[in-house]
Amino acid sequence: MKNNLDIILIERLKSGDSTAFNLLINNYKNKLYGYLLRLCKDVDTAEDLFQETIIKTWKGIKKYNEKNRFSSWLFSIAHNTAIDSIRKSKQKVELIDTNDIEKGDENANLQQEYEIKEMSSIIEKIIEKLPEKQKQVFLLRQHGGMKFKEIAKMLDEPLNTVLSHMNYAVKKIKKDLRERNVI
Amino acid sequence: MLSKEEIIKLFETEMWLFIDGSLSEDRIKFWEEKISEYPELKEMLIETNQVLEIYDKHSEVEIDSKYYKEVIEKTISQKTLGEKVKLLFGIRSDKSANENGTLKIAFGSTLVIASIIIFMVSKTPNPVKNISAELLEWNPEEITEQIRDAQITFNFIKDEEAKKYVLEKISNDEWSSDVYQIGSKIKQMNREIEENKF
Repeated sequence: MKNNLDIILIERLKSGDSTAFNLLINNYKNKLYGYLLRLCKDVDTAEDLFQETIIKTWKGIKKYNEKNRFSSWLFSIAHNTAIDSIRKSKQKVELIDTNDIEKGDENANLQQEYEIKEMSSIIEKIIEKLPEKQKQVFLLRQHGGMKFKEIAKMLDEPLNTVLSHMNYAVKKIKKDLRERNVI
Repeated sequence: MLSKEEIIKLFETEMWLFIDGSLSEDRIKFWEEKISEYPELKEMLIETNQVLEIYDKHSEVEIDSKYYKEVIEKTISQKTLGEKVKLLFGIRSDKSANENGTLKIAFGSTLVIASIIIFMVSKTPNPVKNISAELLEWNPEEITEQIRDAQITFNFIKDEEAKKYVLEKISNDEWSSDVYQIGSKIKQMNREIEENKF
């Protein structure tokens, strides 16, 4: 289903109202940044890629086809930008250092915060262990909200292959969470 | 007729399209029936949703608002090439049908005018044209005459008077020229004495 607010904002943007751009991106900024951060595992790189994605979106907005969902188009730009960057730098993804998680807080709020941080860290590690294609499909689905047919088209892979990547990714995550007694 | 194992295997992949809502109505109905028939399918669906919910809950990241604001401001302030040309020619950004045509005509005209100005202002000589002119003006008789004149000049320089003349012209000093001439005469006399000894 297409987002009506997106359609209105894009129309305003195309007619020259640049303030609509901020409103349009604002809806996706955290999901987009989260996606890039999970994919490249480095805050500085994620910020650079975020900026590059935003600039490409701004420059290409007039070419955007309303037949496609804006979120899918935005995330496909982000994905291609990130993959290009990773290929160029041949950067090996590093695990985020989890040593900064404070341990032994007695305060209930801090304890809760710690648990959330720890769970985020566990999930990051699980995602990091996934094979590249499984990770890409999983992140595009969860952060970009893309449909599998859209992902298949974007990655130029058969639909069944994409579904299989997602299936294996979720199975691995489930297994890992079970081993840690999370579920 | 599919077996229970086959149905479970098929649901592992088709479940995603079921969750997505990308299946046809008939297929959705088919799976709804199977889910109520086989508790394994229902369990698979519940566990999958649980995993995805845990991921979504713990994967939320907030981008630094200051950084985000900077990125947006920087991006919006950028003008595309088309916009720069429009600004240059004062073309408004409305969606008129002739927008592209006007833009192209304006841009093309600028290129033509710029080319003409550069052509007129440029003073760089054309070396090919100059060489061609020299080659065309080549006259063998004149060249031969110049060579003959040069030969006469060389012979003239051999003469002592000519040497004196040349020395005077170069040094502009009559005294030096006379000394040189006396020296030359003495050398010549010595040569003649040596020759007459025998």
